[in-house]
Amino acid sequence: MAIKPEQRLWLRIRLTSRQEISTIQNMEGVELFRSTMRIIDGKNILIEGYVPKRIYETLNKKYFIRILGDVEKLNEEAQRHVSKTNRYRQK
Amino acid sequence: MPFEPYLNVAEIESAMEDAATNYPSLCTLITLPNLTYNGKTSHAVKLAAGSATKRPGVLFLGGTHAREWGGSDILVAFMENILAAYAGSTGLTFQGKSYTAAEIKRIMESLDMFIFPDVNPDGKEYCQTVADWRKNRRPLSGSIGIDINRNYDILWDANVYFDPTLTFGYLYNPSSSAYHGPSPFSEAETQNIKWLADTYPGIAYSVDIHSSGQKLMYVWGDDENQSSDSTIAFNNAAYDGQRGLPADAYGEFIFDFDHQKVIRTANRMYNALFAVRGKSYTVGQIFNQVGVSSGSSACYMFSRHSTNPSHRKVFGFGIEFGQTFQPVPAEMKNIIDDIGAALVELCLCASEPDLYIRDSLADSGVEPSAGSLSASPDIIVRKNVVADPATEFGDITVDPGSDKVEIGNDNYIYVRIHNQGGQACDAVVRLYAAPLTTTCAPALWNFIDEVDVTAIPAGGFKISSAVTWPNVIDPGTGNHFCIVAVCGNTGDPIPDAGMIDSAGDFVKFMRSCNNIAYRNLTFENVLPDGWAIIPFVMKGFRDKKREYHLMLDGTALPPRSRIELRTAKRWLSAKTLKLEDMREVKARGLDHESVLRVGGKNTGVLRNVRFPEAAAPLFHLHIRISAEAKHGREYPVQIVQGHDGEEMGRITVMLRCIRRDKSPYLVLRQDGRVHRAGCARVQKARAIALMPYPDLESALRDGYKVDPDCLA
Repeated sequence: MAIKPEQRLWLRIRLTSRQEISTIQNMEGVELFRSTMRIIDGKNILIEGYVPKRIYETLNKKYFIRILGDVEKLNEEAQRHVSKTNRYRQK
Repeated sequence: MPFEPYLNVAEIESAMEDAATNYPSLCTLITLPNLTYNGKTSHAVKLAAGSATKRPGVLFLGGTHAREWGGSDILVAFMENILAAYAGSTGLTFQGKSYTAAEIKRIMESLDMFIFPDVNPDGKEYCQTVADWRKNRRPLSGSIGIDINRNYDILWDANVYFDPTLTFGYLYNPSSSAYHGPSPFSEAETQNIKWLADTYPGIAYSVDIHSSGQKLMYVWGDDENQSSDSTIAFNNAAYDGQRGLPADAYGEFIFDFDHQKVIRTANRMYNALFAVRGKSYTVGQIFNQVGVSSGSSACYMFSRHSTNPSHRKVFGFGIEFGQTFQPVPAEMKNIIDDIGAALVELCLCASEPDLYIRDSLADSGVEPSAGSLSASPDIIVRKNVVADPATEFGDITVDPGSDKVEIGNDNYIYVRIHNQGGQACDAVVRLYAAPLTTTCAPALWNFIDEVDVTAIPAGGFKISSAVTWPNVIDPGTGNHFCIVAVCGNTGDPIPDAGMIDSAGDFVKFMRSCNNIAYRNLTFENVLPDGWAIIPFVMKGFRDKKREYHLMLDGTALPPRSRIELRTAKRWLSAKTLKLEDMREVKARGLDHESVLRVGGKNTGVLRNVRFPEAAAPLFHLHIRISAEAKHGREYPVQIVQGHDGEEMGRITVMLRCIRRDKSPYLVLRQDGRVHRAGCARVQKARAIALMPYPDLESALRDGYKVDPDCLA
């Protein structure tokens, strides 16, 4: 029986320093997307990432977090918008 | 092909094949040499039209990260739009932003565009059919995949290069989505991009398209940019462990003119993008926008010329489109327009006039320049106005040389200015004079004048009108000068030389900026068995280590010739001074001077010459040419100043040998007057005191006055 992949969540996290980005990024299975990083009001940093659900529980105790979606569900939804043929060879 | 749905991997390949088939004269399919782990052959295309040579290249990368699908769609649409517009002689419209047919023509006919839309096909295929993914698909150490945009050879080993308070475990952990691989360029995907940069050395811009975050970024990515100290740089191991923290002592070096250029280009890309439908992107340096970057494409591209000066300077940019990795199709369609406009604008920037003045005949305008820095064939001094400079100086494969400057009279300077852009332009040229010097440091420059040069053709050159150098005065080196020319216009501004205060900066500045050149070339007539005496200045800079070397090369002199270097004793008194193939000799009556004689092969090196910042010590080169010198021949002698193993500048002295019986006129050095060969004073004089001339006119042109007793 295939092992079900770990559920990951798409999160927006509020941090207060860049060092916290490194700390979180070093957690197993966590991906932070620094291209989404925004420094707001001069002190708070907003950043998005994909985080395993088990780590979300830990992070949620320490940081302000907003859940934006379920990663695999988002991917499944996006796959519906991928061409299933080769349109260049159907001319 | 209208967008929707997203292109799959096979379609991206087919799109390129079709473009090459449908537009064979405009689009070339490039097969990349390295197969992906899953055995896929990657392709790029080259778009170019017309026959212009020396075209700058622009490299477009998409699909590096597997899940960022739209990068490929953006580049395929860009390729198809540009080709169709050029072939149909139409413009291009991206909603609220339009480009004219003339602009598209300019891009296609003056640039080489390299489009690599699907850098990571294995990853994309997996992500589009199986599950979310970022890296490539190569298995390694029990995990799968390497992050391609952390695998370039630029500050790759982050734990070594960056401040230890920053932790980079995710780069070293194979199961991490940002694992940087076992070594730089370990992956077929990055090797393919390196291959493109190596194979097409004209590439001068690169843009790597990612998502998401709505950002437009330029180099550097390891720390904040600074333009004040060129030694504080990614390739200086002395700063390992200090990079990556904002607002501290470390900043990554970028010349101010390069910094302004990337800012200007990024802002123009943003303005074009905004005009499409008012979408707001933030524009800034990679480090400020996304934090520390290690092993990324944009920084690698811009680092290449610093790591290897034979590589062209490549301005690196990054785009993060949209707000999610896979925007819904309706939004992706708009994003294709947003980024398409930004890319066309980047191409327009790349095809704009790029002015340059050559450092040597071998200089093609590429930054950084290689070869000699101080022999610009484009700076031409004449004693008289030239009737038809376009004819006289029109062959740019030839160095027309320079007249010896005439002291006390007006002289005239012409400059050949080249334009390697895709558009004609005007420019201003400023000229400066300095004493003959091995390093033409800005502190020595004296402004002569400036001149406007109009309508410099795209891919061509123009000769300035004569710049009058009025009533020239002796700068301390007689009629031996260094002439500096700097050019610029609004789009390619005159560089600010004010930041040059170290020897390292000077060399990098002169090589890295093609808007500036200088000529250090002097001529001297000499009798066989006679002497030439050339005064010149060495110049110090602010440096932590103020040690220079001076190399003398007279190997072209006839056998039994001799070279001596003379200067005040205090400049050569340091205990650290080292002489190679030179020795100090005692000279009668010269108690305050050091006299160094070069060895029998007429080449020697003086190492560890030290002097303070403000000093500009005067040296005299005494060259005794042997009796074996042949009449009519020119014998070059080179004086090269170096620092840290790198040449900073050189003087070339051309000795023109004239036999005594072919010299009806001689200049007596002590009075600077022209005498007849039969004159009693000349007969009594030693050869060292005489300069021969085949005719009176050439002696007068060199600025000497006739002796009234001898030549009434």
